[in-house]
Amino acid sequence: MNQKQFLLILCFFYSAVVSSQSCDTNIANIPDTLRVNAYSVVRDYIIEMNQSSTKVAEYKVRRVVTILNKKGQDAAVFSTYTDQFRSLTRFAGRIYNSAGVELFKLKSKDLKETQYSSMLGSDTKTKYYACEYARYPYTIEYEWTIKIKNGLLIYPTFCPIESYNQSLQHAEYSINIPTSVDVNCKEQLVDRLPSTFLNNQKQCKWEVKHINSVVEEDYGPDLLSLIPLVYANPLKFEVDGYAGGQQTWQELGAWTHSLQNGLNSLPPQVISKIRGIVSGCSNDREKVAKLYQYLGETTRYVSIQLGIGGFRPMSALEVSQVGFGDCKALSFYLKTMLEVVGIPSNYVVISTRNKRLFSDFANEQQTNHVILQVPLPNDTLWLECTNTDLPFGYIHEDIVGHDALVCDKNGGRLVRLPEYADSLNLESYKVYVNLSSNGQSTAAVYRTSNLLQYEFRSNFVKKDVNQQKDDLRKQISLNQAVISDVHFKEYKTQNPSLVVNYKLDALYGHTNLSRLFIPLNPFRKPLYIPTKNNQRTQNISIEEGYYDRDTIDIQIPKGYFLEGVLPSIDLKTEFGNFTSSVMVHGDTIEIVQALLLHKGVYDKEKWNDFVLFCEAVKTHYTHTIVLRNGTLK
Amino acid sequence: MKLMNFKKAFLIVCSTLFSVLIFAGNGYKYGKVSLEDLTKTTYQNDSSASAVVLFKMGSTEFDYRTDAFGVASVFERRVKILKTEGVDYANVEIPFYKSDQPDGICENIFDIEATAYNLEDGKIVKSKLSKKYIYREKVDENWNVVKFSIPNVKVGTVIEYKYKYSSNNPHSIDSWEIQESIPVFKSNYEVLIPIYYQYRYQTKGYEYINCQTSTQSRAYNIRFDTGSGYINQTVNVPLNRFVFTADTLPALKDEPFVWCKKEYRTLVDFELSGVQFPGSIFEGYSSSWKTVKERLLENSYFGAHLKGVNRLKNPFWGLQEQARLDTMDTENQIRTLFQILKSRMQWDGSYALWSRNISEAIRQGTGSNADLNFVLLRMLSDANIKAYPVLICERNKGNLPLSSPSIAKLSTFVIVAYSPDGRAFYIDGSVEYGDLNILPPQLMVSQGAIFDLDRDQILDLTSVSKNGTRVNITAQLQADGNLVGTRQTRYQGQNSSEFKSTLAVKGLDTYKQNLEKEQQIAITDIELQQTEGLSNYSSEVLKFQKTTQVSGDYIYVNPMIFPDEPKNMFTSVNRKLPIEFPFLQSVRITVSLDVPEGYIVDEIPKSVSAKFEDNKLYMSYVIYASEDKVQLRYQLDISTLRIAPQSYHQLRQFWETLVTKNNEQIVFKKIAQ
Repeated sequence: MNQKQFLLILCFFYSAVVSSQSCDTNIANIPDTLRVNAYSVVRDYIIEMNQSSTKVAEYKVRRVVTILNKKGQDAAVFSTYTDQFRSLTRFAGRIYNSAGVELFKLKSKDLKETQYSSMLGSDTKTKYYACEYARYPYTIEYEWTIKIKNGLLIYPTFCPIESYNQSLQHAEYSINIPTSVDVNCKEQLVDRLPSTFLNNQKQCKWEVKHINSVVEEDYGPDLLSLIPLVYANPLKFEVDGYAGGQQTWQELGAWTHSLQNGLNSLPPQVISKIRGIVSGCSNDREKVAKLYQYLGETTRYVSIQLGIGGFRPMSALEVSQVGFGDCKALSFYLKTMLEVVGIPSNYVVISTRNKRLFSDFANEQQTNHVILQVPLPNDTLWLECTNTDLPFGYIHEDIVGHDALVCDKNGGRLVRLPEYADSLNLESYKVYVNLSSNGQSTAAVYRTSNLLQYEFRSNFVKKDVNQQKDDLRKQISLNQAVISDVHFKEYKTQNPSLVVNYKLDALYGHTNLSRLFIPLNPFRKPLYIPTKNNQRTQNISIEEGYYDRDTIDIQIPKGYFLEGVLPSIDLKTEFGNFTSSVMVHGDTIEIVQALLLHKGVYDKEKWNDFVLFCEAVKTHYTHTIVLRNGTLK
Repeated sequence: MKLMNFKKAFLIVCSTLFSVLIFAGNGYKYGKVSLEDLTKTTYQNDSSASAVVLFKMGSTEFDYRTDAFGVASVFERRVKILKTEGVDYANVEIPFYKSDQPDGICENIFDIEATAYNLEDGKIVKSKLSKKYIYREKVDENWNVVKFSIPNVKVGTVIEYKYKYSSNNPHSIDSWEIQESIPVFKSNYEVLIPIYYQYRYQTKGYEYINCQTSTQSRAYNIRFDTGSGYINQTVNVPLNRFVFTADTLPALKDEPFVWCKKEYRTLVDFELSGVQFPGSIFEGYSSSWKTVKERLLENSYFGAHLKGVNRLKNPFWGLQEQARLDTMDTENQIRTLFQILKSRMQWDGSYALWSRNISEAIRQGTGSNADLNFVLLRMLSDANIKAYPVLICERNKGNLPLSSPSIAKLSTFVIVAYSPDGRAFYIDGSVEYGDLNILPPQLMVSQGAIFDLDRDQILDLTSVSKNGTRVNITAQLQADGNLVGTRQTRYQGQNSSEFKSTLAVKGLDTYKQNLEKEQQIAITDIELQQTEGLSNYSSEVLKFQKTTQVSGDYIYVNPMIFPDEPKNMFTSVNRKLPIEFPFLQSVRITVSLDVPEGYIVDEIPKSVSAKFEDNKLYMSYVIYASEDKVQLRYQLDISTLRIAPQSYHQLRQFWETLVTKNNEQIVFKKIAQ
């Protein structure tokens, strides 16, 4: 058998495989287990990817999904993008009724096209079919081919399940490459089949069958960690003429760094301006602070992604001329300015979405952002260049504690950004309430918010006083609250805080003829109370830890006394601690409450304990104490 | 002859110059940014503004292109950036319509110029927009957008940009939307229209717009058909001139309880009532409901489905024949036909006025409300039931302007069907959880125009359904503070539709869980009735337990048990826009609570009633206690859909009373042994 004949047989074999499966569109053939909690079922999902050189590849995809009800409708949408690297060369679709009978066909002319993007500039076109068929259940099948030219950095990500409440019947992924090409891959919940070799061609293949739908659970982990996935990338690649490798993070970082070659020149007048800005500074930290401030004053964030621009920053010169750029451009511009004054800094690739990067699998798929690292002798700065409103040196919520790739002339290095201790994300209320016998009160309220809680509140300073009052009123669960004398002070340091104080006039709780019902803590919204669940399937993920500590002093009106028993609690759990106490000192009631929540991942078995903890906190935040008028009756 | 032409040509030059000079007359000139504008740090009328539009200028004229008039405009704008968030106003997006059809409407945006002005060391420094940062994107088959980002913009910068707009459609002039999400200091818009095009304008919104009208003329080189060919001739055309000026307009901000914010924006609308060229007959455009209806009737996406050779055939006649309609009254006939329709065609979630491909929609079994409605109209007609489309604009898209009817203001239609005794039944293809007369709230408009060529009638759909909730609670309080009881609820009209929709979307389990959490109860049993299909009512019986607060010798209980309005939803102190409720409704709750054994009633809340503006809103809370029982009657009636912003303060007070009563407590005391 010569080679040609063999290939023919191979081709025949392939098409036979595809056509033998193409008839399973009858919904009666969906196993019952796959219907549990499912809005849609992926019946078949096949990606066959063929790479012929470092620059050229093609992949064929077939996706068959049964939409069981209206909530699954999103899974019926087809969408792909094209740009100067990729084009859609073939598209076909079919819609079947519940018995699997074909109702109608879709062709390329049924696709809609848009260039619209949220960015200023982008060369991406989106082609889509927004399926509006609505007679459930039905099955939709799409087949399409994507052609890659001008290089590829990543192979298509194999992610057959795309949402909650979607189950999977069968899916497979194959990569056909010359034996000279090496592949790096990472798989999750997918079986890798043995590679096969034939005539200088290699095939890597994965298959997955019968995966039940995932239901979203409160405090659950990211869906991406719960579904089948294959990331596969060529070890050596070339994109738009830029060659690189990604066997290790070191190599990928080196490529990222190499893209910046020649982008760091600035004209003499800008250089002298930069030198002038730092001339009065006594140390490097001050210089960085000055230039960070200058960056904020002279630039703004605008997203532009054209060609290799998705990876390569705009030149420092261009940013200095137009005063805008994306995260890459602004970080690189600051890096260049720091170079001018002799301070080394590093370009850092990071993800705002996922905290962890695979340490053993270098890839571009997991990251989406760039920041700048400035290693100073006793203090390493991590600077967000797209938002210089953030206090200098403070690490914001979307990157704090995240893994990141530091790129310098030695290549890439995986590091982890520091994280603030839960107890430092502190917010405290100190309230003094002067209560009248009709329930009306005048209170002085002081609130201090630190670090992540500062960031959460920091929008406050940008609002006008009426909006500030509306905001504060919304946070308090007292009817008829009037807020006045609002003052605030923002401490924009490396450990930032915001202090707000105001006067509050309100009906403090509820009244009867002879009683006042006083809420223990109307300043805290009770924690969201999740539902108990004895069949919890996912571990508990508390993403942010914090500490709330409040003291409320209430002046008891003349003639009134406390009725009943005073509630108190002191809870210590692995999720956090909660204490609440009410004490009477003379004619003052002192309420002290503190909630410390620990970030972390906890075993799913502990779910009901966590719910009990949340309930206890809520009960004590919303509890009322009763004051009674002793002069009546 | 030659001299004459020269004169006319000169006139053309003069008249184009004139429109440019108008701007200058206002103390404003493009490109002349003052030092004062650059040094200012806040806007005197609104300290919260992140940016302010200093000048917003426009002029629109009709030009003549080869053989037809078109619209040509110039827009200019100067914006001062005051805060960090304001720099985004230097990222500009201008959408324009450009149909893929060969003879379609074609707009364009061109000759874009933009400059940023900054103060550096006391000197004004200009940064011009480079062409490199102007991008065009094709959004879909009809829309394009041009985007640009002006360079070197920071807090304190003044930006300025201008662009030209052209359109080949002389039958439409875009609204001049003066008010924006940031304040506008000065605005001027000049419109010059050949008298052949009879445009009317209408101002809208809360802010004052000054309008001046005058006449002038302009020479156009117009092509005439002589019968044996074309000749071009210069004609001096009289023009109507309108100038709209407005200043110090406040920012239009989002507020809750508003259906359509756009309705309150200060703007000028233009509407073409007719076209008349010299020597031609008058061609009327939508100026009355009659003409609107006539034009709809001619339209192949509307009238053609109802009348004529292409009239829609009844695709479900077989089912209709089997349905034994003759045994039913009209109301049930309509309901039955609607059920047949819905069993064969599902609503795809969209609202439309036109049915462009109704046969495909029938084949696929999926369509817009218009697709479903055209089929239902045919079915009703075949059953000899009188039925008409009712032309509306959905509440979230604006109001139907009664003074100037036009097709452009319509967004969709519903159906009204009549019984022989003249009772009206409204229905729409989008109804999933309601019934006849219970359409989704966004369709329950105050103004709908009946599509009946024999009569002009405006129908009010806002009060065709009776909506409300009736709750009956009986509960026993035990000495340990545990409250055990039964809640019976009957939902009517929109409330029933909402209840059914919640159950369908969330599922019974989630509904129960949410209710348990929200009310801090445990549900031991739940029974539902009429929660699927078409019905005016649905009902629910709930058995529940709730822990109340016990403290020493006392038990404290909120006798509402299920508070109706536990929180004041009107948290803002000030209000600019009217408050709009989704629908009229009445809530009645009665509670009968047994006093626990060994306890007496120590104190109960006061009975109270309150009203707002002539009973537009009314509440009452009547409570009394006997030795062994506490009885409560609670009532809330919302009898208006719209409350003026001037009454906001009183509305808030009314709601405060309501919320207070919803939260008050009874005190039970242990009888001393």
